[in-house]
Amino acid sequence: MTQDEILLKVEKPARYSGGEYNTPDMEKECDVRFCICMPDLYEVGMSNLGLKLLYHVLNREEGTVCERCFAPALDFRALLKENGLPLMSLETKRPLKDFDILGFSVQYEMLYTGILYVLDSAEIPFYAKDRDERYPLIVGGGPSAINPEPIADFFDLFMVGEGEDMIVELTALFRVCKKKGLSRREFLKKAEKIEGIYVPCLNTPARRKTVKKAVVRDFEHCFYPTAQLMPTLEVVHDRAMVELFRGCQNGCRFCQAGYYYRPIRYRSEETVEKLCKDLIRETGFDEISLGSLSTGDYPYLEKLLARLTPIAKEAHVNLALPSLRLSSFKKEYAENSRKSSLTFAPEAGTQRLRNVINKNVTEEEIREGLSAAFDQGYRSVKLYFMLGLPTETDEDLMGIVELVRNIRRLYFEHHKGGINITVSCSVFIPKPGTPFQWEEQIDIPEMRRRQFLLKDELRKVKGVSFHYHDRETSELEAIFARGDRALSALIELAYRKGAMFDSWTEHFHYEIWDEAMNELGIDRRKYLGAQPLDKPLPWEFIDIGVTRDYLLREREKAYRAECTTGCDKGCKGCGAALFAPCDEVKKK
Amino acid sequence: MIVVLKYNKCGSMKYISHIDLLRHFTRAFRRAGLAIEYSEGFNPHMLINLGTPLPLGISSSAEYITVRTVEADGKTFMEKYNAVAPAGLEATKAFTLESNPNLAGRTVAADYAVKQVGAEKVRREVESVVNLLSLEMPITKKGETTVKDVAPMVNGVKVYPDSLNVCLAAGNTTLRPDRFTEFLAEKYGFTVKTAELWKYEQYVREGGVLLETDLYLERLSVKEEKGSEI
Repeated sequence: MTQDEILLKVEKPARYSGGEYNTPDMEKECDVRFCICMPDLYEVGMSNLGLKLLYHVLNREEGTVCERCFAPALDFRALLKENGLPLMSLETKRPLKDFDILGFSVQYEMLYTGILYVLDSAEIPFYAKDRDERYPLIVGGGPSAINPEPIADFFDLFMVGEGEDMIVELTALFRVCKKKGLSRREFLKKAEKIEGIYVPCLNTPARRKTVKKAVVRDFEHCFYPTAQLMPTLEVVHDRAMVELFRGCQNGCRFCQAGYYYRPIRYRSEETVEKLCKDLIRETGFDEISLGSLSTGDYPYLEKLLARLTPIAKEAHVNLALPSLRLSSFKKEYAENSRKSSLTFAPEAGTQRLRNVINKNVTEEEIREGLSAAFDQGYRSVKLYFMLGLPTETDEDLMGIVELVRNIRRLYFEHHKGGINITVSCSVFIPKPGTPFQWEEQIDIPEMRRRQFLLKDELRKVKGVSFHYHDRETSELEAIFARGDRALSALIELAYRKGAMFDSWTEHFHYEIWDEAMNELGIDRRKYLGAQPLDKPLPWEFIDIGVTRDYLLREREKAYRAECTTGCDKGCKGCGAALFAPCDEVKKK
Repeated sequence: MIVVLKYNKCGSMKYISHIDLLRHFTRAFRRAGLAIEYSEGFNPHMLINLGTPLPLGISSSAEYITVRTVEADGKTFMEKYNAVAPAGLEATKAFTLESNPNLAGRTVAADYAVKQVGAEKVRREVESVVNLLSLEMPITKKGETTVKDVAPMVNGVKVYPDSLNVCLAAGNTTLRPDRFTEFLAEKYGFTVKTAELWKYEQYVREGGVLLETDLYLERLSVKEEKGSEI
């Protein structure tokens, strides 16, 4: 069977057919062929903003063509294998091994087996040491690059930090080296000098060199694609996206993105307005998401909405404001979106614990925010909490129940009946680059005890449904989050035993991982327990701008249940402003 | 005003499902800045009707979409649409009507051509299936096989040097051309390439006979005003 015939036999063939509207010119003359690989299905991968940014950034470069490839679903993969076909790119249907560079976007830890799955389907060896010049250069990037160690052995290099500028520099260097006929190793030596590039074979735990993350310095004027690829089938985030700003002023102590994407860089409301107009004209999406890590903190939000609302209305386009903080939830914002359901994340049930994690929201603010929302006609509330946070006691868990009861009471002051409160509880995962990077993760029996305690108590509150994250998945995520190079072997062994699509509950098999860990003699408590403060952690050679001292100070304050105010209330000297001008520092 | 566009569904667009197809059109119309009428209510949506669903993986040059719009001229509408249409979903004809022609409800049949090898040897037998009073075809759905008499759903079968052309029921009842031609191929010992299956005509029933959709729409079209002569 040819690939065309195979497509007639698989579920959702449009995942593999390509041909999206706004696909750039694939026939142009080029000497560097890049393929961005997403180790997840089309519907998930195509929802990623980073993919769209880098894809269009590369394709506007002279001499560079960038294509895409997503992890094939199992039915498609089986038919490819049966017919002796390797995995191909979407655009020109070229086998992945015929590209110059494959760039893997790694969004989070549970996608690690997906990388091997894609390499395997493309008939490319897993380990960098087993690949010579005949194979493409394998590059990694995305949020997981903050600790690349667990997957370091699979990659030739990583792009750490923001990719837009770095990826252009990297392909330019690759072009020059290819023309000169330099060896892979010579190229890697030169690549290492580019800011943000980490080469695992030249920078080993025994001989460490610091890698500084890459940051876009001029966020206001940097290229932003508005003729974005239009997905052929419905994807998870099926809308246009505009980034209002990078970074976050809040400093929640568990949040990796909040520290990793510093410093804060705002886009002016004029630029955002222009981007939105162009997006409507060039994509035709019926929804634009005004995205950031905390949209309510965008200082020009009111001015922006005043400009955008009439434009959106005329074009029948909905404006979505994700990531609003409760405290910033005001009447006028609620009026701009569809009144389906509200989502807020108090993260912890008591004020004490919210202070520990520096989630600067008070019960009073929650009441005010929700009161406004209920007045607006919202009837459905989703609340996100985290369980197993440092210093957490059963009292804090009971605080969640109390908070939910109060919200319920508040609701009935505004409406009769029809209430729908969803409480979702994830498990705390200590993440690199945060003040909690040294903390322990509670073990599985303790997770279970706390989850069931909450479940039993919330069952007594009418109109509430309770969801909680899978314990085994959370544990594995924590192991990888703080993993070292010893874990590459674990990922490979688990993959060989059949682990893949671990982020999909129906495909996740803990037994496989358990067996693989036992076989390799991996002690999970080494990764899950509290980490010593006096030794460098496996990822600390990566300089994210925020200093170790700052993180330690924040950790101390957490234990004293002391808050740190937002960056808008004065610079705290985290260190990120040395990487690029911080708009909050500039304001002063 | 109503505009009906006749369009192709081919290339990588042949893999788009019916529900995703609607999404492609609403987005293209918004890109084109076309003034489409919207429904009332909580979640207003564009007033668009897609015709009979085309099975996934089949190419077509005879698909129709009906749009309620304040743009009065179908030809301009088509030009604006084509300027921003995804490759493989280009419009080829436009009709301007005063009322909705209800194509989804009136469509009864369609013509398909499929690439074949070896059917000429058994041409007479193959073409004569159209005269059969009963034709039992096994249909497998979700692992279960049932036998169905498809004779009433077959309107025509012709063998050409390298294609097999069939006219089959399409609309309220549909006989899938890929399944039917594969069935004939197996029954009479030739091969068909269903990856190269093309729909090229669609019919409504008018006065007991099949009428090409284009002719039907032309009859309903608003006649262009010719400058009045005295």
